Amino acid sequence: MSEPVWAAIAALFTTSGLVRILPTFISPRIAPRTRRYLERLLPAAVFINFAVYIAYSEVVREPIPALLSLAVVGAVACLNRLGLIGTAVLGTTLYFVLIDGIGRGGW
Amino acid sequence: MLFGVLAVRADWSLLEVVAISLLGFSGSVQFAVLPLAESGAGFFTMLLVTASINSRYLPIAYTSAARLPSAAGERACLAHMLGDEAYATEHERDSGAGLWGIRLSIFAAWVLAGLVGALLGRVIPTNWLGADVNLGYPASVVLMYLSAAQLRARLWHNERRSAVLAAAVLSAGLALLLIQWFGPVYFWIPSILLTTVILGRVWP
Repeated sequence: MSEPVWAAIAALFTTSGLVRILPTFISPRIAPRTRRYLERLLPAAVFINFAVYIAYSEVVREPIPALLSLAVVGAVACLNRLGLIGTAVLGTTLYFVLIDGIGRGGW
Repeated sequence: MLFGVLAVRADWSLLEVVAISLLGFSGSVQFAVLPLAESGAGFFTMLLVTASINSRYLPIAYTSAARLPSAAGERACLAHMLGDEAYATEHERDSGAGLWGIRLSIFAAWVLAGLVGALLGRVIPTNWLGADVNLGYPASVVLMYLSAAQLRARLWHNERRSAVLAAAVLSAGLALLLIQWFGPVYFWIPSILLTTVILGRVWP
């Protein structure tokens, strides 16, 4: 057993307690305006930042394939045309095909 | 699965891979602590890093708390199994069995995939895994799909759709700027707060 590894496991478990478990047991008295922010606006804000974070993380690595693939995934999801699995296969295939195309000097 | 492969390559045991997946249950943070543990970092250093990266769960946990059952043990278990994918999959009307189904299936899949990855990491020759192959891309695609689907449901049917969509685009641009300034670890809280304020100006 490696001591740093178990320190890492303990750190992650403590983090889960602090950021995931503790907030669900705390119910402060909240004004209606603040409640509106927390229940309607905050979730939308989280998802906007998720999308930006994912796009940034992947575009930094493979700019053109990630940008095109994630744009297609976002468009398909917004148009509600294909299910999750189909879109995942489409987006992933497009990404690796584009990388292969760029690698062969086709771009 | 990729985490399991990489952890075994860094000399983690199967028990350690399963333990961190069960007790930590966090994709990006598990990858982040791999090099920290390898360099011998202490508990508080790693706690600072892991709490910073996962600070985005504070608002997520708070906003999804109303769906959780009232029994303390069940509530704590479900809260621990909260992840990005579960939050993106759930609806406000979900509760009880529905939440258990979503969260437990994702949690179990994560733990099992880590174990399978660790087992594979022991048998796959090193030269089979090219260092430049992005094995985590499908996970990014899934999270992008779920985020876009949630945003469509929340923003598209809004009374002031044009204004709200414009605010969302502005917020996305500012989030990119904040990533540049603070980095992808520390941008979360200021960016989520700024986005909330911007949306609040136009959302009826």
